[in-house]
Amino acid sequence: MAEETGAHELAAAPSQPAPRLHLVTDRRLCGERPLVDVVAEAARGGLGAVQLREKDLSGGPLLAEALALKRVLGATLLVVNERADVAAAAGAAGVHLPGDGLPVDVARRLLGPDALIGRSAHSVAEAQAAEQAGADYVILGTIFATASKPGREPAGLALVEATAQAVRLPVIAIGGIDEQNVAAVIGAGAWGVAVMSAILRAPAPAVAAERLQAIVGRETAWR
Amino acid sequence: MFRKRDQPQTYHCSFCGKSQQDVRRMVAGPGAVYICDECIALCGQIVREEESGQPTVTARPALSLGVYVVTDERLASGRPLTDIVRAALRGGANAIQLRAKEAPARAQLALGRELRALTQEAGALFIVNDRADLAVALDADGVHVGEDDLPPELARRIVGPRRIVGCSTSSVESALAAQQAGADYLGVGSIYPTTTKADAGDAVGTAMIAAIKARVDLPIVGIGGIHAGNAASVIAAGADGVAVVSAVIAAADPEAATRELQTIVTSARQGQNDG
Repeated sequence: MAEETGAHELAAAPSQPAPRLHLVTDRRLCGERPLVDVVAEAARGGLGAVQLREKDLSGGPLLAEALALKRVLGATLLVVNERADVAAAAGAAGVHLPGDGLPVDVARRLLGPDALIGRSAHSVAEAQAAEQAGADYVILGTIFATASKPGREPAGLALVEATAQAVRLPVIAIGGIDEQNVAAVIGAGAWGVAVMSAILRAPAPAVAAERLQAIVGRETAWR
Repeated sequence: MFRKRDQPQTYHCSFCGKSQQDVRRMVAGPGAVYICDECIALCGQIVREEESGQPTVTARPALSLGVYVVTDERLASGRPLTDIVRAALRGGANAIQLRAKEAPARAQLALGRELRALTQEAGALFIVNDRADLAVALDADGVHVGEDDLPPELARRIVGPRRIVGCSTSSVESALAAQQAGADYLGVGSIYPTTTKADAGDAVGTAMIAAIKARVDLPIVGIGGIHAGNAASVIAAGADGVAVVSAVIAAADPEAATRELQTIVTSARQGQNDG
């Protein structure tokens, strides 16, 4: 069935620019509240994309969660972490691939030329490899110390600067980003940011998302 | 997906379910019926082969599931899984299922490519557990979904019409639902108590095979705690094959273990036909 591999030779450029504010989910950070409620509020506040990342869920429950999120997302795009099959089944906008996940071309073949395909990167070289492979954006981390990835040495803004200069694809910074430091991250050259705790743990997720979105919008307006 | 604003409507091929973004051409028929270029090509091939008097291609590989070996790295005692699978294929395994749920996609792809090559060489089926995306990436013969995985009809949309979709089931109701959803075969279990799968549930016994066989017209493999000592009863109850994990993967001599199972299954099927 090798002929299937050539089906998307005429891949078009993504029809929309990559989202700038990403919320990466972890339902354990939501306390007592269902993830879908927190995401719905955050989306109302303003989000570019939600990445459903619940690594312990198998395909069925993950698909159910994806469909539940899709119903509350409005214009916010849904991206599924790792599983291109669940992304396709849910009709998500795309898939986000961890470093040890599927190759970009495999995900592209499954999801089509217009799908939004992200790749995780932890160095300039990994971001360059993602660009070569045809990813639409990279999520670059870990920038600041974070409780979500304990024990990981933060790379700091220098990694954002070096990567943004080395690649043309949008660099989305992740790791300990909040209202206080987001302007500096954008100032270092990031296209956008991805957050977990800053929204999922916020007492008012809509307000947290709105504030982050406002800062990102202000800091990127001149570009 | 991520579509342009001037393409609000997505059309799906009525034959394989792919959307117009996934194929080169989509032809509309009367009403809401569509066919994609890939299905047109497949239909053309079938018609041509019929006209030329050659055997008709079937949409999917023939299902020969006699001894169906499911991989599990944890049972390999440090031996490379590829060596065990190679031995099982020499012993006459009909199908190999890649099951490595805990491994990252890259690692599953690396192992899967080797298993794909080995099964192809041996003329055995290669099935990927749970991940329909990996099944397509590896050009596997099919995907096997459990009751907690993607629903079979959605797995089918991802793997296309020519690949096998197998479903785990432990009741007549779920077997009927799987058949309705387009499953190609059923894995019925756990037949006997097993320690391989923590979430396997209580053993249903060989009676469940007979109960499902009476209501569902699909090939059945029994799974769960099956070994050379009880495989014949599984076939006698109406199964077409036996799926095994530890009986082959943990065996000191996987080739001999597979061969013994194959002999038992073959003669039990003979008995099934005679009876």
